[in-house]
Amino acid sequence: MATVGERALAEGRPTARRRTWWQQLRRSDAGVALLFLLPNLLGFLVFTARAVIEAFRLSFYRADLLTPEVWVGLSNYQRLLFNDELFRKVLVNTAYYTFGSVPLAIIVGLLLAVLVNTQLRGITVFRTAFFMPVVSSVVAVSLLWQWLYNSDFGLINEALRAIGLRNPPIWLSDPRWAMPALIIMSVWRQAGYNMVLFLAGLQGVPVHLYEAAEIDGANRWQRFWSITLPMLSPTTFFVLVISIIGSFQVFDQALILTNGGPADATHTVVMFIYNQGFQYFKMGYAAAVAWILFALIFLLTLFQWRYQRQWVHYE
Amino acid sequence: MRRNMIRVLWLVTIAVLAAACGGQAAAPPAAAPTTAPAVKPAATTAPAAAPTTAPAAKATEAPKATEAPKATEAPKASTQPVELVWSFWGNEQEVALNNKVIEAFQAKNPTIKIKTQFEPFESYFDKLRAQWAGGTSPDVMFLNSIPVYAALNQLQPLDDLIARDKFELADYYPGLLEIFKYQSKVYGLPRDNDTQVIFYNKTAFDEAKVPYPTKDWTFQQFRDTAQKLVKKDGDKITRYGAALAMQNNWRIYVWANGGELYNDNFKPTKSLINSPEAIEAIDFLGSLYRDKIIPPDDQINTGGKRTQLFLNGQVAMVQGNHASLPAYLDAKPSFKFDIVPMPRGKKGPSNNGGGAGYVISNKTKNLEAAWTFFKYLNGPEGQTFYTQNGLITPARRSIGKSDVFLKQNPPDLSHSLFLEATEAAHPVPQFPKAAEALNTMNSGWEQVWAGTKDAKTVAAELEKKVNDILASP
Repeated sequence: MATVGERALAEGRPTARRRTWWQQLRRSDAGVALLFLLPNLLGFLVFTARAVIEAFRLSFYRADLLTPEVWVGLSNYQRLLFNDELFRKVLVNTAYYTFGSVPLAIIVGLLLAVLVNTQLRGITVFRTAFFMPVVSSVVAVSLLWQWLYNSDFGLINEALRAIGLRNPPIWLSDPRWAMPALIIMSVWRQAGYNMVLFLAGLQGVPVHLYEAAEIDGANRWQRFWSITLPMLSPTTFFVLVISIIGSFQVFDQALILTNGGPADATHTVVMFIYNQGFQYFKMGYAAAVAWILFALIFLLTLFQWRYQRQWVHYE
Repeated sequence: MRRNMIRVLWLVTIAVLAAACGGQAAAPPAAAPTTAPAVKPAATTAPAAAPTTAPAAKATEAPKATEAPKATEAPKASTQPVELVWSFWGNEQEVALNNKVIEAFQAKNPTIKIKTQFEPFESYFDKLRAQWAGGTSPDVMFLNSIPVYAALNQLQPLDDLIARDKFELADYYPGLLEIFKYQSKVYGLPRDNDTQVIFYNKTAFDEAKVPYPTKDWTFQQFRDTAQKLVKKDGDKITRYGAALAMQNNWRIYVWANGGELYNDNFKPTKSLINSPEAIEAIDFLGSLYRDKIIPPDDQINTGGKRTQLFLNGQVAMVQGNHASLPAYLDAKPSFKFDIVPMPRGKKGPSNNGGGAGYVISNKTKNLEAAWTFFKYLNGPEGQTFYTQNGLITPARRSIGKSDVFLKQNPPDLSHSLFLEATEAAHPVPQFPKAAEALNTMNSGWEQVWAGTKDAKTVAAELEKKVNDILASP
């Protein structure tokens, strides 16, 4: 995309400087882009930006939205960062969930994509099947998994008993197993989505690269490692960024599968915000948590953006 | 071409902007007077309204107190139809019943029209809070945790109206009335009590040749009985002894054993959870999980799951209140069942003293009409409706002792046990931070249920955590 200056030069009109910002905006691509973005931007400004700013203001108050607000300065943040044991726990839980589920969902999604990236007859049936969990309702999926995880009659424990395990875990009632259970379910749900993205990436890898490698005598594994993976890295980067943001905001499946329990083992940051704000009426406190979460996600994304040069290859 | 397209785009944008501005121009004036002043000044207007309107109504005998300022405009206020919104949660049966109550009420009060606002329990309170934050409210609400919402300045104090109409309070269990008060003012009246009992499968007892439990059974006797009812198929348990409602209800065992949660149930300053009595009760419950006499927590943590386990014969006993009875009757189980009180601890029997009830919003524009409906709901007629349908253990003693309660379906069930159990009720602690403290304790005990920590360790941790919550601003 040519910048304003470049275009003015190309058209041989050196008068760009004399134009007002308005004229510039009208003539430039940026103006057109802005126009196309405007409907969405308006919605964002009215419904999101306003609420975000209001939440920032609230985070310095003790507020329940019903009785008069009390200015408390930084004490909400201070309490959260230094004095709230439960907040520390939900942060650790959320990190556990993120670093457990994201890599697994990426690896499984990539494997599925490689598997279904063939021209076999009926392959679309498999692609659809792997994608089904993504479009199923979270509530239905979570209730289904509650049954799978049932310690006495669930399929998972039946299978474990069949292979000789006498005391399989009580999954959702054991603080040590509840988070792995949640992660397994999330990977199952998320992998199909990643698969579709990787599939699109795989089909964009030029065939001539593989042909050249084959002539050079590279085996299947070498071709995957030296061509597929690097060529997919922009997709991987996108999937990674989106997944980390999404998993830091995990809420609904944890709410339905375990309601944050047992013993807060699956209590996540967003659930903490919900409880503080809507159960205990501490809106100011909840708003402060929301801003800490935002800062955290922002920093993580920034970090990934900065270091993508090390491993992401754009053509 | 391109220029034309841009021109069209600008036109669209201007149209959108105009529409948005138009909407905003219309919205703020409408929103500002209702939301902004209603949220904050409500604190000052509402309490002022009550004392002034009530006497005014008395003096002029105009039944609609809030019409007082507009008296000149609407002299025929009393015959003008009034519309009230009544909010509640509940299952299908309860909603159908509420509609019947409305029909009966409107037959007697044709000028008061009742609209309903139904919301499932899970989202009921969120919805109310959103409405309140927006400056509106249903006129009459079904509610629990009254002191919490009274502290948030959403409820109408009723003492003046109760005194004016000589509404009889002596019929209520005193402990239940207590939790509908805040700073010694009455903000509502209880409909029922959450009295818990144990339902037991008589057929399973007969099969296992275990004698039926008695009214005065102890923790130990409960444990022994339940253990004998456990059925196994190899390593796999096919029937547990009992399904207890553990969340929140562990309190009953603590109270029965002589323990307390706080130094005061309504204005606590100190947690008493780290006492030998409380630890013993929790340890007793933990041992039921440990020895696999009751199923793991995730199988029994909702009422629906417990009902299903009992009806499927996967547990021989189940804890529940009167509201679970209609479901057991409807399912027409292949076995016979009866009820027995909760087991006794060192101190004796105990139970929840607290249930849901009705309140009036301090934002209502039709206080007199709302009060009329409120009186109907809480009066003998309203209470009879709910009682004869098997949903509640009534909060009024006279209804409990009447045939409506005692002779209800099924006739061979000893319904009077619910009343005896209610007499042993311990007030459920109610204060603004009660939910946070209770959730903290629920989570803590879950470590005992799962066997990852012992009761003594957790009690010490909880004492500190709860004290922190109580001391926090």
